[in-house]
Amino acid sequence: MIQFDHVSKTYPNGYQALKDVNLTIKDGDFVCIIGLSGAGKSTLIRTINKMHPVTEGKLLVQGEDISEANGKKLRAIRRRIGMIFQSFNLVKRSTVYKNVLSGRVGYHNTFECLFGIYTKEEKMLALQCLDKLGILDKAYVRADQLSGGQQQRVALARALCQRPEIILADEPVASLDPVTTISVMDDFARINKEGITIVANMHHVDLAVKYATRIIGIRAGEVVFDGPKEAVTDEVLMNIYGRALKREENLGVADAK
Amino acid sequence: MRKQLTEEAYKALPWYKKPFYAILRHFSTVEDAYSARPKKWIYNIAFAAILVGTLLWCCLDLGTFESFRNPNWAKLGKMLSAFLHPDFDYMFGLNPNSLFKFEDSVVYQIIETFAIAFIGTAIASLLSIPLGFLASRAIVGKWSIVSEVILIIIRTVPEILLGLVLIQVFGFGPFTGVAVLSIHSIGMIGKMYAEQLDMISPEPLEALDAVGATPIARLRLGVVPQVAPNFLNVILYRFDLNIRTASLLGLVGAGGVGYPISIYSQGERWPQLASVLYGVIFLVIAIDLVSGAIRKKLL
Amino acid sequence: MRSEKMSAFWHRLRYKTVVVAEDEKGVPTKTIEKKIRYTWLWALLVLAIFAICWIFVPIPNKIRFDQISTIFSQLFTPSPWSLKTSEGWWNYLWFTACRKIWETVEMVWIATVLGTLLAVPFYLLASHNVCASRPVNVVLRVIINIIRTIPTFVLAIIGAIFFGYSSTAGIFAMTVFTFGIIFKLMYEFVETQDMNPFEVCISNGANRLEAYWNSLHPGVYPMFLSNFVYTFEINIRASVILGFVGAGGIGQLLNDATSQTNWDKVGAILVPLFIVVFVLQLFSNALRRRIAK
Repeated sequence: MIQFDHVSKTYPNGYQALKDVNLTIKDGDFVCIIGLSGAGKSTLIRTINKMHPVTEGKLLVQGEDISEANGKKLRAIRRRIGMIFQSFNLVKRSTVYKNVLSGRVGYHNTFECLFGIYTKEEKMLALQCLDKLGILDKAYVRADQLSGGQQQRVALARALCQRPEIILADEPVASLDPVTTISVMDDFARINKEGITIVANMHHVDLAVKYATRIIGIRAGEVVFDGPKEAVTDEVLMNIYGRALKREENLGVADAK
Repeated sequence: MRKQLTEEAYKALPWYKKPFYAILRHFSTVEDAYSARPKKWIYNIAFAAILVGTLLWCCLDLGTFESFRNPNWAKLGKMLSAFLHPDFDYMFGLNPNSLFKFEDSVVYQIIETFAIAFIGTAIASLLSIPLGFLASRAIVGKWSIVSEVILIIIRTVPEILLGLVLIQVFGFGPFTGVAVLSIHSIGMIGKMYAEQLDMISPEPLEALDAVGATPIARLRLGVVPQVAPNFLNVILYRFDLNIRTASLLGLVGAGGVGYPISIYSQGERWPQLASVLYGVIFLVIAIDLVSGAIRKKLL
Repeated sequence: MRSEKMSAFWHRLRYKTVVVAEDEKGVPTKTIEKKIRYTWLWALLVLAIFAICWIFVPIPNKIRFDQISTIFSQLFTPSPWSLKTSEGWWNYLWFTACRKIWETVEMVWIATVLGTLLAVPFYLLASHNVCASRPVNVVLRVIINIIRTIPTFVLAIIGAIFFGYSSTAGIFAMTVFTFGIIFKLMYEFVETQDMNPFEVCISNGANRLEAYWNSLHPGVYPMFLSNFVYTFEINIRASVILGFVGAGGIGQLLNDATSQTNWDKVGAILVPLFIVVFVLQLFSNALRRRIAK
């Protein structure tokens, strides 16, 4: 469970990215955060695993105060949270197998990491994650030789290999073509059904509405909407985006299926 | 790159091709994939063992470990303590009572070394323009190989040897140093010029051809603006290195700081050696800072 | 007030106003600021320094160009007062010169490998990406840059004082030199790497060293090898000079031969030396081109 308690984030140059955010995300939720670019979606996601530290307020992740955690404690919390990025962020020169295994570094000490000593179960787990996402054949191929959708799947496998309780996704489908978008979002839904909380940033409103159980809308650093997806109406969207969305601007492909 | 294969295609391969496709085939189960994983650790351990083995063999062959038996701490101590009390008379040569006149002082030597490097680099950078242009495939085409070979030959001769030969011709003194530096630098700068010229983009040249420019205009308006800052970079970089080479040439008597260093170190006159070393360090740091500032302004 | 006047002065010095359009009375209506190029001034400065430098470099009175042909003719013919016969020349080439060159290669190998391995933790600590504390970065860079300013032959002399006149002094000098140059090349390269996979590893719960090893190292490793080969090549050329100060290697032979003006021995030494340097250059060019692919 993630709990935001009067959380604010102000950058050193005075820009305030988050203003007094109060949220509770329960286990098993599929939360989508929507809003304009620059409204604070990425900042919100990154404060959850302290990639951007919060300047005020308390942030409890799985019962532990992450804003106070440092060093080993922080690493212990972080290894239970997986993260997926828009630009995949794989290590281009390593094989897919090594990329996925690198999700387990949090569970080993430095010596074992440097020499690549992982247990047999972890190696099997890595291959099983790849198998679940359907890219087992590419296990020993160099990571930059895969297509975009496959690379995002590898990133997802890397996140799964951690056996996380929460997965954060920062615009996971923004650089994928429409068909791959659907399959990756289906994978997300499947993972969510297995009990992992997913917090995702989305640009495409209809994708968010289709897959999420809960929608959070952010505008200029403040949470302006927090509720189940059924409660999302055009008026709510106008509040979040500042004006009514035209039909063509729903560039997601939830209707294409 | 090799393609992914299906199970049947993999089974149908001849035996000598199988290892290459072992990791590119279709894996039916996870255990199958697990057993096919490349076991890199064998190669890593073998590599490390070979590396350590060669190091040990070379050390034994050269007798390195014997030199560690009785290292000469006393002499080193004396030398290092001299760094705290260098010979200031020798450094500046301004004291009329000491035996060092200004021409022998460290300041003069440093300026002389700088002068050798400066003149040598300047002459070399001018003279290597034609050779560099002739050695670049983009400008001359296939005949560049002639100039390339000339430059390679000039480059492979060690500077010290060139110094020794030219001492017979020009005698001792800084002029030999200038000659050696010029010739050696022509080899290096010419090669770098050729590399830069090979890297120019052809689009501006095409545009100039399209408006009907003569070859000279093409060169001046298309090639020169592209390569001029890189040439300057090359010259500055070479100047840095030439300062060190100039101090080195003094070892064989071609003028510069190397000569006093070799004399004082063999004569074990540590205060004088310390002053000379301070001078050298000062010169190199000063040149580094100046050329860094010039680079920042230029690029 | 004063700073305004000063900046106005500088402005007039660096820019000049160019009139683009005038009305009938000659009063300019539209002007632009053009930056004045002082290239000719800099060129004049360089020429002035060039001229001053000649004061310190006296031109010798007698130049004996005929010596060049004398020396060249003696390079490959055995002379009656040193090697005496053709067979003697070949034996010298094979047994003495090649053996010494092999020793030089061994020296350079040890020095380059040791210097490179020693530099690894230091360049990691000096890159701002991997080690985020600025003081550590800056202190390391300043200290090691100062060490780098000491010329190699001076280090060889220091080594000779300490270890005696043997090849260990040369190894010491080249190790320190390799350390400095690999440090500089590698920290500059590591700082230009893409940090996104690094951030991912950090968010997975790794500490900075583990994150570096898993994410950045696969990209850094080819450049590392390329720099190693480049430094090896530089060290081979430098080892000739080290022999002159008595630190072992082929330079010593060369020193002996030239001090006795036995040019035939010099020729016998030059042949394997040229071959080794030439082959090494070809090899390193090919290797570096392949690694950079």
